[in-house]
Amino acid sequence: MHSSISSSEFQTSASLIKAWLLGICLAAAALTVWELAWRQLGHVPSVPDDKLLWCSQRRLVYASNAVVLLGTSRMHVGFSKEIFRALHRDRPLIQLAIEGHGPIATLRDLASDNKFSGKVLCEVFTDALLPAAVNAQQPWVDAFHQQLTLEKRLGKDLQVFLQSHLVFLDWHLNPKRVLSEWMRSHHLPRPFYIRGFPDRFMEADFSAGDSSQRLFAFDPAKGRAAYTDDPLTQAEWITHVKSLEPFVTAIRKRGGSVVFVVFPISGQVRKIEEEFRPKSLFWDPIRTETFIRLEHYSELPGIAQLSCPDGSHLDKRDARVFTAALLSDLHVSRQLPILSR
Amino acid sequence: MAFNSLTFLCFLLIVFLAHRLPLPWSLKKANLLLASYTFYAAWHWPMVFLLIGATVFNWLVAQRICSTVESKRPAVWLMFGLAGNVFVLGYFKYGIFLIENVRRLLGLPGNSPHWNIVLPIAISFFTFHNISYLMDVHRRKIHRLPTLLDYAFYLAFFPHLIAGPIVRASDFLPQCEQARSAAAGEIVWGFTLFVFGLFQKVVLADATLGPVANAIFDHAGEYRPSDCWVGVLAFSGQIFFDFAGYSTCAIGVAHCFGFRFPENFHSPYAADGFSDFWKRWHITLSSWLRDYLYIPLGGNRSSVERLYLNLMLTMLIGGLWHGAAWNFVFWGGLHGIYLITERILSSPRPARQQTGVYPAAFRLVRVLLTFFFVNLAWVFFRSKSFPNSFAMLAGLFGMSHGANSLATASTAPVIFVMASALALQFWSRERSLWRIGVDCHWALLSVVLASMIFCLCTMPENENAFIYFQF
Repeated sequence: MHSSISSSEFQTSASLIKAWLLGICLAAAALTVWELAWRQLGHVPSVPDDKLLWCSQRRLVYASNAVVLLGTSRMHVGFSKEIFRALHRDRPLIQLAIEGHGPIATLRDLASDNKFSGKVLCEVFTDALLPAAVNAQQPWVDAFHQQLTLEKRLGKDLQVFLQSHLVFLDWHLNPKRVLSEWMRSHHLPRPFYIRGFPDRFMEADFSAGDSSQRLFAFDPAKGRAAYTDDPLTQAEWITHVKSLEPFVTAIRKRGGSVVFVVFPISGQVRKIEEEFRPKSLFWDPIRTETFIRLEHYSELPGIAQLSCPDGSHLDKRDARVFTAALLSDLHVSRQLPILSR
Repeated sequence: MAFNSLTFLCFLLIVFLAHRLPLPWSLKKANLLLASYTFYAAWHWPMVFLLIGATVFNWLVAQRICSTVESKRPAVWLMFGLAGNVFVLGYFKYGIFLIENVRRLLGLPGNSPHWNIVLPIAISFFTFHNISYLMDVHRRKIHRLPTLLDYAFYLAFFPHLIAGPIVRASDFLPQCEQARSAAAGEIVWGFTLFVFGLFQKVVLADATLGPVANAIFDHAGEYRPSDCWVGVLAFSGQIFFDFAGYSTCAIGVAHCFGFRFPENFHSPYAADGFSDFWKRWHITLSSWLRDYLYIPLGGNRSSVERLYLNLMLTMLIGGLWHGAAWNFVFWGGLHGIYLITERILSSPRPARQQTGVYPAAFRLVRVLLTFFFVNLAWVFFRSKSFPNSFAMLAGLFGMSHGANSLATASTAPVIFVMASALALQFWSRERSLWRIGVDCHWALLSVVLASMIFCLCTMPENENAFIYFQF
């Protein structure tokens, strides 16, 4: 057998042990300096989202009185868990929204899961409910059902624990990326405006963080073209929404509930939306033509005036205002009553 | 459970500490076997039963081969054993490929049926272990048959289970017979290899080279020729650092438990010919193919035409071993052509290389030529389809008019890493990793170790699977 070494040679390995001892000390020192330097520059630990993290949260939906959040990035950054937990201390809150992917596949999965009987708040916008977007979240659903092994769960828990405590594990601060950024702009990365948490919640701080690389960049010309190229009639729309009723019915039958929520938008995004998909033609008929419960931001007191810095995502301070108004309305309408203690 | 995962680090620590307990040797082996099955079960636990089934089947067949050694029956039992192994491999790995191709060949209409065959991870590796064991028993290279525990341990020992190195039973089983305990130096060297292997995988293959290779190959022909070459170079480095990294980790982990595995890579990109390349690249596979396929086919013992046929068959099957797809077969065939061409060109003048005026320069030219052609072959290995391969080749030679370009921040690290790797491999052609480690001043080694640990902690992207897991 070709082996790289012989047994006798290990007798001469004292220097190897010395090298290891010094190497570990040097590495620990370098990592400490690296960590402290980034903290000094204002960076904080942030947990990046991925499929496995989504799967680990998907497991939790069976808890008693659970409230599950579905949707896209608007839900991901626009719902304040602090406000929710202050009002609903006895309800577990699970974040299953996914950036850029319509929520219907996950809603369908929860509807077909006989063990699930929780309450669903599902953030929607018109395109997210159209047939083209129905399977957008299916890869996450498949990953949960097929790939979530015990080993992967344990590994993810361990990784998330480290990421939530160490700044240098943020992928923005990977030395290779730092070097690329330096070569490109001669600047070190500034703290990113989005911060992720172990429970998949995110908050957007547009006032302090670096939002040059936006989660969502809206191009008015493209936004307008998307509506004009693929016009949608009211009849088609109602048909699409009606096709979702069986999912809502299935969850209701088990004692749960589903509420669709339209999140705040502003500026050009709102202008184009109101031009091509006006509330009176698209959202109001849902209440008369289907039995799906809908909350529209414009009807919540004080919310229509909120401004989204990028047109469609709330700053973390406004997310608190919006969440409080939404939860208050849901409590009054008995859709999500505050549990008596 | 991949070597580059946090769970593996915890698993390794627990198994290592359990192995250091003052227990009888048989109990230690049983512990390691249990750990190995747990390691395998982490992917898809039902497949552990396939592994156990393969173990018992081959162990029993070997017993029969041995017990009928005086009659003509051993050959019958050997054929039975080989057929069983080939059937299992064929069913799980090549079943769909075979049916699809027969269907196409016969021109049968309709869509292909949905076959839901789960490919057991590592099946190619443990089947090759089994086949070599049966053939060695038949050839009487193994004189004392192992106990079932030892054989199960040999087959399932977790460092080599998933992606090799392919360890011969005749090398490993004697190590199982007597109690082994790694000395401090051996453990430290084992962890050094482990860190070095992880560095190759995580930092070089995944973080530095992989993204560039993916960008170019996913848009074959859309980039400028110079960027296409950078993409091919990047893949060339990615597959080397990925697989050599895995092998180095495996050898290192085995060292921590006191076991020795054979070397699997030895400066392959410094090879000065294709025959030399296959003596340095995936050494345990190429030597397996030589001993259990090429030589039984007749090797070089008959006519020149037969020798070429044997070479080509061996390389085609070697290509197919990598995956049930024609691009792998084509890649193997291309290497077959390289080897045959090399034989034709070099056979009449064997001494000439030694007597040249500038042997080092001449060798360097041969190294670069070999590297060039190996890179061309990687295009077929990496591409998802033949049209993709040809689009990539067109891009490489400026025939696709691709205009996209990569940023310098992407190309510069690839060129730096690959130039350094080539220079280092050329320098260490005749040196072992151990010798380099021992000859290096301990202070310099500590800086290298600290740098690798720092990069490993700060540069992980995702826990990307090792490329060779799919084989």
